[in-house]
Amino acid sequence: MKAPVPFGQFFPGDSPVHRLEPRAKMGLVAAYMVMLFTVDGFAGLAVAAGLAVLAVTVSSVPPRLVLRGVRAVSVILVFTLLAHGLRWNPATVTLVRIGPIGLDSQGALTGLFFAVRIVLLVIGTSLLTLTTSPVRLADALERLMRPLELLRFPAGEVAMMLTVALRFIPTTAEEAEKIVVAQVARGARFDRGGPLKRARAYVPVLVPLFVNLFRRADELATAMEARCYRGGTGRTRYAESRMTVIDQAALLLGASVMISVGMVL
Amino acid sequence: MSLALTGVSYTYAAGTSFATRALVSVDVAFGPGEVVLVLGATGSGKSTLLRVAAGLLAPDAGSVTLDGRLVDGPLAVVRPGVGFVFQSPEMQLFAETVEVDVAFGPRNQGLSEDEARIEALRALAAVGLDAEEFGTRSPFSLSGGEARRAAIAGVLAMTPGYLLLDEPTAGLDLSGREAVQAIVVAARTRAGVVVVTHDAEEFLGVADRVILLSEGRVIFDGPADELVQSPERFAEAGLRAPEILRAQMLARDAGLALPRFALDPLAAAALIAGAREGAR
Repeated sequence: MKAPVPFGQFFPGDSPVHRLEPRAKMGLVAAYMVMLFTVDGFAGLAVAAGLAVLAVTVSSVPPRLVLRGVRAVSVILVFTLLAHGLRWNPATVTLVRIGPIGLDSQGALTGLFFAVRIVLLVIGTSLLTLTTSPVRLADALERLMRPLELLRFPAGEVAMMLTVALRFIPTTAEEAEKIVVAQVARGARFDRGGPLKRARAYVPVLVPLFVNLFRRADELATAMEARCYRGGTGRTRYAESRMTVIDQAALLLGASVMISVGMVL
Repeated sequence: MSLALTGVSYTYAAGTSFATRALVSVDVAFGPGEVVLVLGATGSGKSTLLRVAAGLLAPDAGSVTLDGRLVDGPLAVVRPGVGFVFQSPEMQLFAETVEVDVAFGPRNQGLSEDEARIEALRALAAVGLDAEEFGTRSPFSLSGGEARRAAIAGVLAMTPGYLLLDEPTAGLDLSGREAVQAIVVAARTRAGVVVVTHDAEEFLGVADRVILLSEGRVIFDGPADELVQSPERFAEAGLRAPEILRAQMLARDAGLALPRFALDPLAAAALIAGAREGAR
């Protein structure tokens, strides 16, 4: 059992996408999302897809890694398609008709539009986490959230929580895999029966997994305190990330282009 | 009747730049009623050997037979009749009580509640946990050693013909290690037992046979006493010989004519004293 979602699974590299300052990258992803949610037709989505393909190519991240996130949302994609496409006693042209239920071509097209939007959204956000190490990502979030400290928002603590959470995703996935194998060795089966039976079959995996997670969290908290962690206030960084002129130019240019595309197409 | 690996090779991440050869043309067989100790340094392939034998990994080359039947294909599950005790097996405990947890395997094997309970009680007794005292306790309230024993009971309750244990004493204190050692000795009467460890000292005294692995190859496969009598072979596998044998090697190097080596400290002392007497 591998973790199906690539979030938090950094793919190391030295591509221009990897080198881009994380805050600039997050700004670009935000603009990309604005573009995705403002385009009205397939022409806009085609431009977004082109930009996504370009970014993936430049990043040198294997496409299968980027697409792993898409596989994880495949159920949502099918649901989106059907929710828009299926009609009860459709009056308009239908592609397929089984009894009173028909797959409407216009509805299917709308469903396809939303499904493609989700796919592109997942690709864009996956690329951010695949090309930015969790530590750099959390640093960037902290820097972005810093103004909120004026409103007593604990930006440092939130960033630390994110760093720790991201750091432990692969460890937890690995541990879950070990427990699954150990329970299978004791005759457990996860692929039999209805949804309820299958869900119950995971109890022998989830209980020890959570017990171990809480235990580890407790140990980690003690270990951090033992190393004088007293919250985010006043903590300095070993390596400060700086926005260069190139980062700023990339952010400005990229965001302008994408938001313009969103408004025009 | 044996669990046999013939010409087995296994490479992790084969075909990529991260490819690591873990096993190279390994021929070994484990019989019922014997305790086999698989020794090797970190990365020697001993855990991979155990996983291939258990059916968790399908070999790249070679075959695995269980009591004469060929078992192949990428299984990713432990073969029926083979019990596998993973490293830190207490991680698998989940039920409300120790007894229910130990009965999990037998119930999955299709036994009735009563039959599963009988097997669970028998397994708890086999690992030295009193069912009256421990059966109704939460597995999460057990000490490290007790939890390890309860987890091993969970595997023994399935009455495997072959019991494979991967570093079963890792992280335990002296009493915990002794308890696990006793379980291994007792299990021999009902199953073929294979213990993988990097600590020779722990099980050498109770093993019938030892397999030494180095860089994925078997460099020694013979009776435990044969290895005790030629302790320099430990170094070939990148391991240190047990301290008691090292002391006798030093005595022999110092000119004492030891007739043989002994693992038992008292016997070793007697041998050294006898040799000193003879030297005078």
